[in-house]
Amino acid sequence: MNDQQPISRRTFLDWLLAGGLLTWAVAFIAPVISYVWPAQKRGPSIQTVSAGKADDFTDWQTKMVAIAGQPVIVIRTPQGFRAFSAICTHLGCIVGWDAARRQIACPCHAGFFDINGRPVAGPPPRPLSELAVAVVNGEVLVKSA
Amino acid sequence: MKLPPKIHAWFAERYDIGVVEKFADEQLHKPLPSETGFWHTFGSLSLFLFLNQVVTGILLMIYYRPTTNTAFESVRFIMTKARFGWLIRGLHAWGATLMILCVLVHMMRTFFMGAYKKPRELTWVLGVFIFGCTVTFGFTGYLLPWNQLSYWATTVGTEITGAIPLAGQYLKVLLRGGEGVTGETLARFYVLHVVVLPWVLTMLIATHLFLMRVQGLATFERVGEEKPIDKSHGIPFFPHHVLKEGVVFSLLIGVMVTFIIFWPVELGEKADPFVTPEGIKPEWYFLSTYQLLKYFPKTLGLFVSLIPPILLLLWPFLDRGRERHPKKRPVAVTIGIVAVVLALAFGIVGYLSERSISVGGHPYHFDIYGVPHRLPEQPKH
Amino acid sequence: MERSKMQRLPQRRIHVIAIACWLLMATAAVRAQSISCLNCHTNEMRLFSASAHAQAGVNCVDCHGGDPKATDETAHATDNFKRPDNKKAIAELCASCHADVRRMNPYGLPTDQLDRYKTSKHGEQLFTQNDQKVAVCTDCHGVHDILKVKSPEARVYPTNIPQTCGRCHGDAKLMQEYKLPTDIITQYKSSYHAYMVFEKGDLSAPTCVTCHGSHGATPPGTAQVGQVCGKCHVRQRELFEKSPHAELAAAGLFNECVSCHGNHGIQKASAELFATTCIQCHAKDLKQLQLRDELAGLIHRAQADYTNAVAAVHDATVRGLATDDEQLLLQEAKTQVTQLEAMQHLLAVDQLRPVATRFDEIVKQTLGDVADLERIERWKRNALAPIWAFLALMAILFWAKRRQLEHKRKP
Repeated sequence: MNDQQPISRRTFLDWLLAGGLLTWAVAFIAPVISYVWPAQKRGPSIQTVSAGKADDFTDWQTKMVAIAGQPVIVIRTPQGFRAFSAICTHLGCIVGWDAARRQIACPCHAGFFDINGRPVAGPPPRPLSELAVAVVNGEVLVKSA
Repeated sequence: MKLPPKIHAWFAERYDIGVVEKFADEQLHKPLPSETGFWHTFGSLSLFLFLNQVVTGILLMIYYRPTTNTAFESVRFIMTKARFGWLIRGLHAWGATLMILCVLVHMMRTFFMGAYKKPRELTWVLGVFIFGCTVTFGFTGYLLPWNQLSYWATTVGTEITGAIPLAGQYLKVLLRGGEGVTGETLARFYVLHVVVLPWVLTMLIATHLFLMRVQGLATFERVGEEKPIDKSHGIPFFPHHVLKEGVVFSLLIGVMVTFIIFWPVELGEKADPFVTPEGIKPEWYFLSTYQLLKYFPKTLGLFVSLIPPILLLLWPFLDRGRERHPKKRPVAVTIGIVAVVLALAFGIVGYLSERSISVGGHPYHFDIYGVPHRLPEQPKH
Repeated sequence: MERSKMQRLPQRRIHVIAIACWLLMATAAVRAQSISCLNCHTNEMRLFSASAHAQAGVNCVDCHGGDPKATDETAHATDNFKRPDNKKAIAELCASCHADVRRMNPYGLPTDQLDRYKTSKHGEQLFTQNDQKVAVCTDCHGVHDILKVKSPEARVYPTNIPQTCGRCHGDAKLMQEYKLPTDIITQYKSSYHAYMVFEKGDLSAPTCVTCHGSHGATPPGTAQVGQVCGKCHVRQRELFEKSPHAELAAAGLFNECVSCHGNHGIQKASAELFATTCIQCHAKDLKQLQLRDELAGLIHRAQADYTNAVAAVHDATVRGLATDDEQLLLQEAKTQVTQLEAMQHLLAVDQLRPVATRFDEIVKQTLGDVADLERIERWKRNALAPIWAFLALMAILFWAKRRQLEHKRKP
């Protein structure tokens, strides 16, 4: 009887220790595996964003996407897709598309840019910076600089 | 832990595993002096923290990119997009500070307990180099996030190497990979931090541990009067001492996680060579040297700042006394306390210099030498 | 034999050089179309040689007439010799080429300068009153040293215009004679437009001629001020035309932009304008002042909210939180705020409210997102409790196991 009690107490402590150590090991390894598993399809170096399917765009249709927190306007022209930074080079407002004039328009001070991003009317001093666009497997991909 | 009999037999038929088993058994159950207590855990804590740095460092390398265009952004990625990236980075950054702290405490413990004396002088010397290596790790690693703090602290730090007479300018250019801190500097520091220093430190630590194991831990016995420890008087390393270390280890993990969560490492602003932030200072472990250098002209300052490391290195050869117990070595202990107090004092002054704080409602500004000046009260509108 | 040759060579060489020089001078004279003017008028020649006229092959005779071959004052004695002594004559002399379409065509120059000039205040004074104190072609463009307008040294290059106009319009005594303001140039120099031209180097920003015109220089009448400012400030003018002040401006009772913004000394538009300009007419008009306060309050609040939101997102970014989406929202917010600032010219709070509401929504969302990020940080802090509990448990287990082993060793 006396032999049994000390043995069961020792085993209980050992079990607790083993369990604790195992939990500890899992608590270390689980975050590591989670960390190592790729967080997004493409890692930190390339910033490519999909603007949807090419078929969803009719000619002269536009869409706004965000790359690294910056707005980008994607336009489908008869010659292909174009993408420009949507930040007006005048005072930083977000530009939009003027379908009637087929120009990029800024609502703040009536600045207008042509389909090449060059300012044609109003105060903007510099062209909108252009981003590379490619259609891959029917998907419109915009790549940041 | 015993191997299952079939596997044990397989190895026994091919190799003389008896030797390995005997060695493992000896090392695991090696008796340590019975006085081995809490203060003796800082060595293994330092070792654990080094391993932590290696593991978290490797993990960080998966996402980190060492060029000026991508370094900052990749750290941002780690902190915002990679799952638990904030934790890995936090472990690495706080781990660095804690490792340097543990190494310092370990050195002080060794000093005050006279463990550096014969026959362990070389172990101590290796330890000083280990400390130097650790601090160099900190210096090179600090640049890698490529934020304003990193960039300018490195500029100041490498500028100081330029003060070394004769070789200084060459050393500075070599370190920086050019005249100023650029992508070249980043690349060089990265190579040092990730390849060169790890190997050097690993070999230093391995030798340090080997010597420590071979000679055993020091006690308070006088030099030349050490008695070998047998099993009946010593504490087995495993499991007894390891369990004690486990307690301290748990505390350390708790402290680390707490620091990471309460004082998270910030991302900062991307390095801008055209904008110098105010009050650039090096990391805390350099503050005392940094402040000391301010009081002397360049070359003299360099020599003065070299005195502590040289003293440290030569100490076992300067102090030939045979006592180990601190109570029996008043001179050495006094010198040690004075050194620690001076280092702390310079460090604190270094922290306060070029900083404005308010004491009792009055604003004070500490100048570059740490002298406080009372600022005029702002007129109320 | 050798020696005599050598003796003669240097002499021959001198002769060759002398002849070459004379030929050069002659060709220069030929280039100047064999005119003798430069014999006496060396100063004018020096100025003229670098001018745009000289580059175009125009010479003294083309303007002054006279005998280019005579080498003394008889050169001046011809019938066609002109030395314009009054400003009307100068204008007509310049126009004799510059109003000739066929002649100006190859140079791509306009030909309506004299017509325009006659409509200007300067021209009116000169042609109807024979006022010799007004500016005419040479006063602004120079006489012999006329340069192309594009040339930075030209007197009519944008950065030199204020100085050129200032020669008369900055002369207090002269201006008092005409009862014109005497401090225009100083005012302009203190203006934001001058800052743009001179410090930011933006030559599209206005100088005197941009608003007043150059050859047809006239101060714009009250009905035309908007047109002039609206050349660049398109949106503000569009909006103003829809505001209650537009009718007043059309009726000549309100000087459009100038009434609130001033003209020559115009400063960057800021909140202060609300405090200083409305009361000039509406000082006793409580209702209008209330409207003003509403309008001003709306815009100031939006500006302050935007600044706060930017600071909050910036802090979060520096700390290392993921703020990509919030930065995008800030861009949108900025668009709304900038629109509001332009839209105040509508003077209709109702029309601004939708934009302000949209702005408020965006800012709320932004700050909400930042707060969410904070929540994650709080969650981490809360997780510390179970973590410490677990670690404490492990420490106790280690300690207990060690005690147990010690008891085993020393029962």
